[in-house]
Amino acid sequence: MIIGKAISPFAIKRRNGGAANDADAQAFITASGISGTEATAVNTLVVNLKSANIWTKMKAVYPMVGGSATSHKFNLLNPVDSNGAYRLVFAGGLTHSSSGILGGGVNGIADTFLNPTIDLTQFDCHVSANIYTNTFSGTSKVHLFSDNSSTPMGLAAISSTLERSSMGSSTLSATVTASTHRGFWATSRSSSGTNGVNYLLANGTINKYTAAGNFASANIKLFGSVTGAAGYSNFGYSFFTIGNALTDAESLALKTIVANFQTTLGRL
Amino acid sequence: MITLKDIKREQWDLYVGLLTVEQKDSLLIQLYAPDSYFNPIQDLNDNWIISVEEMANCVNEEFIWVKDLPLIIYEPKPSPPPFN
Repeated sequence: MIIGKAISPFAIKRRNGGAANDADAQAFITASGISGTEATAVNTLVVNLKSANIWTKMKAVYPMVGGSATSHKFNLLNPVDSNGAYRLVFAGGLTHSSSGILGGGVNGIADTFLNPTIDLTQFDCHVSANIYTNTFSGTSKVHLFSDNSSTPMGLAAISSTLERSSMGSSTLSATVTASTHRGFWATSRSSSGTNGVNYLLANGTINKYTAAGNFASANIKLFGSVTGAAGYSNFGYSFFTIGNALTDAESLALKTIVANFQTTLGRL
Repeated sequence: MITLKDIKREQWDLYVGLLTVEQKDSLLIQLYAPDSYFNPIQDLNDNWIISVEEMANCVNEEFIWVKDLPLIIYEPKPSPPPFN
């Protein structure tokens, strides 16, 4: 007869000093200097991205945790402080906080050093942005763009009532209201053929369009365009990704993973 | 002349700091705070300007003078082609 009491898995965890973080998550946690809830959330984020088979499609993921430029700059995929690792370099007026990064709307910008014509295949690419504010004022605002030529890759707000996906010389706009800019937006191109681009709106709708043209060669920038005093964003952002094309299902899965990550952090 | 101490936080996006060409040149590729570079740009009238955030958040002693720059109303250049 076996006599004893069941051992709680929590007890095992305590005796072992807690479950080890995913190695990729731990590298980011160490580089960015985060701890506590933020570290736990990042570990869950990485585990969920891998579980959804999205991790390997990413070139750059910016979780924007830690509340400072120094912690916000790291790429979750490769948290090394170098241009080649797509670490962000911030310039101009931006406000860093535990909510993420608030664009100043004048000259705030971040260079990813990721050029879609070099680091991605032009018909196998995506970008996404999670916006935590609704405030739109003035002229157009860049969420992220590869340049400000007529053939950029990226996402932008065109007016208080229009958001836009851009893939080369082709674009698709989505109607929003003054209170529906906030949320997760993504656009992905998987082919040059008919409806080869999907555009995931913050409300969960996926629209399709055709975009056969290539992009101009330029790094993707966050919050603004490459040159000139135009397009600089005054929205707040809490997450960006850049990588290979995502299917509709993968785009929606990413939206859910990002939403869960923000909820864990108590932010939008 | 309006300066940083004359405006409230919620007015920051209405104003920018006005630079001379020499001041603009001195700020290129320089940090105003850890991991944050100055980014002088030109406004609608081709004035060289920086944002109020750069002025207010500057902790680089070499450029602490930016906190005393005169402020002007921000007038952006027109939007480029992809936004039209």
